[in-house]
Amino acid sequence: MNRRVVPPSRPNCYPVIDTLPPRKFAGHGARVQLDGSAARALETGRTRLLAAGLVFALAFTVIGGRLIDLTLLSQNSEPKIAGGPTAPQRETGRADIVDRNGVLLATTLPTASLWANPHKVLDPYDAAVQLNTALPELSHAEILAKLTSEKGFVWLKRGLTPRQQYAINRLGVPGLQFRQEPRRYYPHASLTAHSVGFTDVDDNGLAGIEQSFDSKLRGAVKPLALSIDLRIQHVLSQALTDTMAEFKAIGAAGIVMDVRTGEIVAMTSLPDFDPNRPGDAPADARFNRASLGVYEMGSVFKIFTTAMALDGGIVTLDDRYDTSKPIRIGRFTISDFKPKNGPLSVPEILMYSSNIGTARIAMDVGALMQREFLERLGLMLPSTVELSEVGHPMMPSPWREINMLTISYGHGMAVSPIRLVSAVSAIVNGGILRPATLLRQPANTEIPGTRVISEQTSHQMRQLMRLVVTHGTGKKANADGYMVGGKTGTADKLIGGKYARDARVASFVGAFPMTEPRYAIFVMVDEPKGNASTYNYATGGWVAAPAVRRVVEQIGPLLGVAPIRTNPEDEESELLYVRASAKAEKVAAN
Amino acid sequence: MRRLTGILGLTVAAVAALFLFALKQDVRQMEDELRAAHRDILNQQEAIQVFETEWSYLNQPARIADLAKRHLGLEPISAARIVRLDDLPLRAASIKPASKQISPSDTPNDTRLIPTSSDTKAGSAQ
Repeated sequence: MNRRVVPPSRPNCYPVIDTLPPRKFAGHGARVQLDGSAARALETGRTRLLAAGLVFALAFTVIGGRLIDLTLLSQNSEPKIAGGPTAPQRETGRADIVDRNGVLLATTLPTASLWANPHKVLDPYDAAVQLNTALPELSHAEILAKLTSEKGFVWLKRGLTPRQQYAINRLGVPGLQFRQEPRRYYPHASLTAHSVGFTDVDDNGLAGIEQSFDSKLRGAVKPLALSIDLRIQHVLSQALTDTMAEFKAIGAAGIVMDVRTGEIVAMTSLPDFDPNRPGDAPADARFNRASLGVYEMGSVFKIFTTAMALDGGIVTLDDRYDTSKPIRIGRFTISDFKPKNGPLSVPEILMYSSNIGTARIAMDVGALMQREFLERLGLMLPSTVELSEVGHPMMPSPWREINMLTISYGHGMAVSPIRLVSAVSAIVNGGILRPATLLRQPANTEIPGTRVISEQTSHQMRQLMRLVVTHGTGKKANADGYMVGGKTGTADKLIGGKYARDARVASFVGAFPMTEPRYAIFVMVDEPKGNASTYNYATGGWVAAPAVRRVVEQIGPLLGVAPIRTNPEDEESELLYVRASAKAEKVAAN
Repeated sequence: MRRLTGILGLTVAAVAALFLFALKQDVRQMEDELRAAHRDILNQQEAIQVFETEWSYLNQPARIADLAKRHLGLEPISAARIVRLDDLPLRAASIKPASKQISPSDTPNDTRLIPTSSDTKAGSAQ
């Protein structure tokens, strides 16, 4: 700053003398007249001080005002609703699992676990005696061994019931402590055991959805909704249990699938187990026959053989095959269970479940196309359902001619029921294969899929499958009003490399209503024994088909499938076109 | 004047301090209440969860089916009992209002709820 240029701030100031020595203040309150540059410097300082003082005064006033406002006048200026702290969320460390309607299938509850500090137990022997009265399932010796150990911490029993906790508290044994621990609980016990799975005592998922969604369940608070409908699950489970008892079978499996979305509405594998006590269950009960088990499905595979031949334009419904003589290839002979005389049409081959006829169709189709078609249907790969228990299909390698022939009617290739149901869903739903899922899909959304057969073939297959139920081997599956269509299957089991005559798997796979399929259903009974009521037959038509009828009759109303009241003669005549195949153009027009 | 300002300032400061202290106490107490309320909410949520589990347990389909069978006499509905509204035949009367008189043939012991097509013909003939 150049002083000389700056004009004097006051009119009465004197000319500037730079060398003037600074004067000292004479005393308090005395007004001192300063001259020249010193006076101006002082003036500047004073102004700055004033400005700073004003700023501070303003700040203090604001603070003071706010203080008074907060303490004395706070009532009105405070917000009415606190924005900060919200209500706490209960954290269990593992989200619930519910069915598609929100029914609780798995939850975490706080339970007390009993532990002891052996150093603080005064009389281990007496304590063990007393504890044995409250916890009879633990032996006296076992408790004593724990209470006399050198450790400072031993678990005695985890996951006590409130009653047990009360009983132990009443004993008043010193050195015993409770610890609150979350514990997984399954209110529906064995009903959904195979799909939901179970956890270990430390809440690690060990099977089913609990295992495959372990990490997701850990972090989540919102329950995980499965595609399972508990009511349908119950009906299916009940029917299978009854069937198993009736035919003294060693096991059974069943699946109900929504053909439009691939959602598994019910999945049962018997024998089942209580997931609340998975350790008590034998391995056979924990084995999921519906997804992990692979079986030679028998005649239900004829659906695929017929579909591939129709879709590939290899045969039409008019074509006839001679089934009067068994086929001999090398040391194998393919014969029919109930031989029919004369040439059978393609619909009749399926209807009467002719092995010879189906094998002859397969010959026309060829091994390459057969293999390619089954691959397209997803039967060559394990299911993509959200379970770790999925069975790998078993198939021949190389794919010889004899394999081609036996696979055409379901022998020589083993697939899991879940894959089979997905494939059949695709056959009947208009030809779109969608992955099977155990999770509820949002309503009214189109689930993407891949086309495996044409709409036209799917329509023909629906008619053929309906024909099997009205006139063929699956008559006992005909649930009144629900237009069930499907195919029976009876496969001899391979035991020690040979097909056993008396051990077989009886099955039925179908869908309803056949006019516009909504649900596919599969029932399989493992090693049924025929009885007097079935004239000692233990085939799919006698064992599995009646179970399907019982299930469909009950779940139809629950699933909101409107019964179809058709004039029997109308349906008859329509099916007769298919059967007699004399008017194939009418079928195409439908 | 200066002294007065000082005294006033001190008084205001003291009063403010007093109220600040009271306010802090209030806040602390309310925070305690909030914590207690949160604890209570958690306990209640836990209790609700236990009840919901029990509710789900009591609603086991097998149990409900058994109860319904024993106490209500209910059974699964058959398809034959489900009828669409459109499938119900119209009354003969609504087709021809003129014949809406009770015909002699409609005897009280005729217990059919829905007139058959032969009834319709008989009604319209009169």
